[in-house]
Amino acid sequence: MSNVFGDVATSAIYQAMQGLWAEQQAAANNIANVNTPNFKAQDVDFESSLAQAIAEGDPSQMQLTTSTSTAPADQNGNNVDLATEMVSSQKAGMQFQTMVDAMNAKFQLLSTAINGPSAS
Amino acid sequence: MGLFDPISTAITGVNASETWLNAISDNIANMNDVTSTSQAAYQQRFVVMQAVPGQSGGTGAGAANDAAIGSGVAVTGIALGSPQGVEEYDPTSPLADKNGMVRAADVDLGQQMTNMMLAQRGYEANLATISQAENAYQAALGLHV
Repeated sequence: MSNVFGDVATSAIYQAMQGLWAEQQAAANNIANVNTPNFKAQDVDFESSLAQAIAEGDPSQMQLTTSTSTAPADQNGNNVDLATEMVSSQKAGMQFQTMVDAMNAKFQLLSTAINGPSAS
Repeated sequence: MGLFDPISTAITGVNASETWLNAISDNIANMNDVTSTSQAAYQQRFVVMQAVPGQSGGTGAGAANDAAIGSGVAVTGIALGSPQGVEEYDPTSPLADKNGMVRAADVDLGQQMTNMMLAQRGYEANLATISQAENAYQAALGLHV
């Protein structure tokens, strides 16, 4: 019997939160370095890896990959685009919120299964 | 990856921007400094910033790559401009030498004002990151059964 708390959906949501948190961190780092000469922006990708891991039935196999942006640099060698980073940060934040809602919905299902419909 | 990383990263950005703003105000405040030609002029302040590499020690899948995300920016020093300044002809000045020259600070106001806008923009962007990360924390605190 599979673990009710460690099913694919819960694990996938958890991994997505990890990935989004890393995206948030990368955006924060890029913004902090918006004026640092020769700094190159970092991108985080986890979606494709998570999709594949979910398809294979084990979301915990997700790999976070970070890469250095190849966008053209300014005069001072910096290639951070502030607008892109602000949007990326907002997007990661909203997706994070969505994942929290999904996790809550999952807990709600469990709660209903455990206590019966009247308890909630 | 630590719990409050995005916020501490943004704080390094706020601090670096603030140091830069301090240096800019110092430069602007001293842009009209005049000394005698036998003394050094006001030296323009330049803030030296460097990205801080991420710390290892993440856990879970992808921990190795996780370490690659940087953790902000650091001010590694203040570089000083040339003490030469610009020599100006001002024979009425009590500081003037026998040729009527004085040494003035070599600060370009236009450049300082542009830098101030950049520093201010960086400051604001980092504050926006903090409130954004705060929202995410608030969301995570809303997890309940």
